[in-house]
Amino acid sequence: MHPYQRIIDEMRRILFDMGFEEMSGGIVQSSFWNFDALFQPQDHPAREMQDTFFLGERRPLPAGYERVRDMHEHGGGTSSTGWGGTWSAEKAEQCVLRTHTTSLSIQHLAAHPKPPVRAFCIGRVYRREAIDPTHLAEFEQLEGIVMDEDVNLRHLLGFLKEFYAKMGFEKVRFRPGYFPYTEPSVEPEVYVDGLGWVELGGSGIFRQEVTEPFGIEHPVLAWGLGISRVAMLRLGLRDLRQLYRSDVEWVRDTPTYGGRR
Amino acid sequence: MAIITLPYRYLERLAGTDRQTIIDRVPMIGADIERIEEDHVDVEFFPNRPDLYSPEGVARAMRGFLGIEEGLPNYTVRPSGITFSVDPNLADIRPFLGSAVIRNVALDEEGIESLMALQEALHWAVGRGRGKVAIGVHDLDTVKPPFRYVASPRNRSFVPLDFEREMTMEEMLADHPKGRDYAHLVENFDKFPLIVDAENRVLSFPPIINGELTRVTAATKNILLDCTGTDRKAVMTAVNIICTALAEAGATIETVTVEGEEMPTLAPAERVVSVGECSRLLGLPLTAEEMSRLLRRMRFDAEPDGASRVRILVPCYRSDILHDWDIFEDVAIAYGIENFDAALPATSTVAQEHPISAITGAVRSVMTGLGYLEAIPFTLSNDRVLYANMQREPAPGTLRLLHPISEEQTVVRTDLLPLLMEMLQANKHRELPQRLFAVGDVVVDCITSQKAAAVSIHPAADFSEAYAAADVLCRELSLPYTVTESADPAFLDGRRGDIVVNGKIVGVFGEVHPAVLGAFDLEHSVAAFALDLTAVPGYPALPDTPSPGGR
Repeated sequence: MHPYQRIIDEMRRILFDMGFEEMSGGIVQSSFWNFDALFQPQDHPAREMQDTFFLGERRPLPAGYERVRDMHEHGGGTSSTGWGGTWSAEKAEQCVLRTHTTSLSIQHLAAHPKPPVRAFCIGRVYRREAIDPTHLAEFEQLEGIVMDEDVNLRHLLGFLKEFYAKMGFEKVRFRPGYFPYTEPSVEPEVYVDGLGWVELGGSGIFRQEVTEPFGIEHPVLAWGLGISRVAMLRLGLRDLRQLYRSDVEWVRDTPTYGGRR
Repeated sequence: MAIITLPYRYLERLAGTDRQTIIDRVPMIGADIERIEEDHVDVEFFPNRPDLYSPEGVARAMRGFLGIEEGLPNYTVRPSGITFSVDPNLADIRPFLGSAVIRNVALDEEGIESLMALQEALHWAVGRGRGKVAIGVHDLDTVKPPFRYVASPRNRSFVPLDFEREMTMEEMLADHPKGRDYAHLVENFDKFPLIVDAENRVLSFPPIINGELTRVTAATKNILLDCTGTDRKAVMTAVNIICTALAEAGATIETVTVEGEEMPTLAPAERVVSVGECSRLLGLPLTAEEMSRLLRRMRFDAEPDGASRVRILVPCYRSDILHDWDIFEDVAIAYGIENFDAALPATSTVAQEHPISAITGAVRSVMTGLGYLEAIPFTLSNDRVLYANMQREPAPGTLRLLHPISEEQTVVRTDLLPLLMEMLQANKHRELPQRLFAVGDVVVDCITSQKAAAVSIHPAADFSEAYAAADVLCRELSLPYTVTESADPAFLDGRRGDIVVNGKIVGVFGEVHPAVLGAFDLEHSVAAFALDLTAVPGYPALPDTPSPGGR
């Protein structure tokens, strides 16, 4: 099996061991699910064509989209002010290649708004980046979500510690972070011999502006990481492209079992 | 990215502490240290905290975080008596104007650079590339109030910043570097935004360029600030952040009357939040007193309002506070993210593999059992690889990127086989035989589904090898199939077969056509197959799209 697939399967097994259900979904998403449902303002830089692959296709908005519109315009029924301005349905209909698997997480939560939910997804995501040894236009992202009565920030840190420890990163520490759809947000760092503290992924609790329109009444803990970065650390790669345009000798010669790290 | 340069000496003076304490602690308010230099440190702050985009703003936050000075910073404003009118013809062009007078600034070269850097960072984070807000600072003593913000004919001329001669505004869009960068924001309007003084001298052509006349220098004592834009809230955010940063540096702020409205007020906003809700979200048992104390360290005014609520005054520069949870995050930061005890909830849940993963996992174990190596090719490809080289017509429903970044990646793959052929080409110098397979997503008509494909290259690769491999995979996947003669032009006539399930072609196998081998620069025969995994029993139907508030 491909060395990268083995790392992906190892992560899947860890998440199954932790009681997570696997999610899967489409590469093509409407801006509604990729951005608007996650309370990403319509003038956010990530929504410009230099960062995201836009497609000519459009997709109709789901029934009840007005709740998301209201949240953007004035904060709906929450303590939020919203972003202000006028929300454009036309902008939300435009399709993109998903920029994160969070678009699948929010659809999973919308379909399962009752607790408990523990779900994960590993899938390809797309950024409009020129390809070089450390940047690719497509790469795998892992994302986990936990929704339950009375889960809190301490539990988010608990899931992260447990997950990273099972991945072989015994030392984990946390700093404040920023992601548009989580509040609070936390940046985990893991200690890697020879490299020191390495930022690995992002996490937080979904903003109420994200969950409220979908009738989700309990906090949603979420974290994600680019797993090609983990593969680089694990496999000692200098060029990410090796994962996708592989040298058959390298695939043949990389041992199946690398020992417990 | 907003990377802010913090000169140690200036920062230490403003923050009232030493550089090492700041370098050690600043990441814990939410920042990434980029570079530590001899005389300064470069720090990246998050896009939601433009109030931290200046040494003054960072010092203000750090004084609170380190317990040197807590609570709401007090900013007093006095009227300047200066008025500013706004031309109603700007309503569809660039309607909003925010302004202020900033007196007694003492800017050295470093101070000017830091003010320009703040302006640029705000243009990016708040102004969205100057469209939503553009900021101008002017030496007030070079011009005469009252000021007018007007919609001007496009051929009005003045001397723009960094030039020595007059140009028309239209010329600036073509010939001034800033004009070229930002022309797209105004070029479609019949008239252009312009700011002039009582004697009709030009201060600025927003959002493009200021006039040379009002250039801010080390000799500047008093500043006139203009922020123009298309969003009133964002315009006032920029005014508040610049005014409070310069006030922190020792300047005094005066109001300007814009169309009858005296601004800025620099007044805080009030919010009353629940102690219980905060405690539950953070997992910390807090009292109203403790929560208030933590918030004062984040430069809010906060007092208990009974036992269960806290009354807060939010400083005018905190544009990121939209929701109560934004306040709760600041409680967590003041408490120290590093001080939280990690815990796991007691609820138990049952793991569940996705049915598609069960199928793709089965493909992997069968193919590796047959001695094939896995490849994980890109999903983005191009017409040459996917279709022309394969002698195939482009599949209907092929997705094309509107703005591809390279000629190599213009469409989303509809098949995996061509990508395996490309992989063989890249591994041409390696030992034969090579047997590769891939399993993964393809997209047709915006619908994502999964396919599998395999190739085997060596001098004796032939139809029967392809048939045997395809047959093993289909049988192992419990796929009841029949075989008919294929017409796929990627394969050699007479040595190709279609895999048919319930009357529908779901796969193909055979000996790859010599012209296709030539297109991929391969010198040996290739036995190959491809299979659409949606035909496999148990493949899930497409789920319905969920909807907001649908339940």
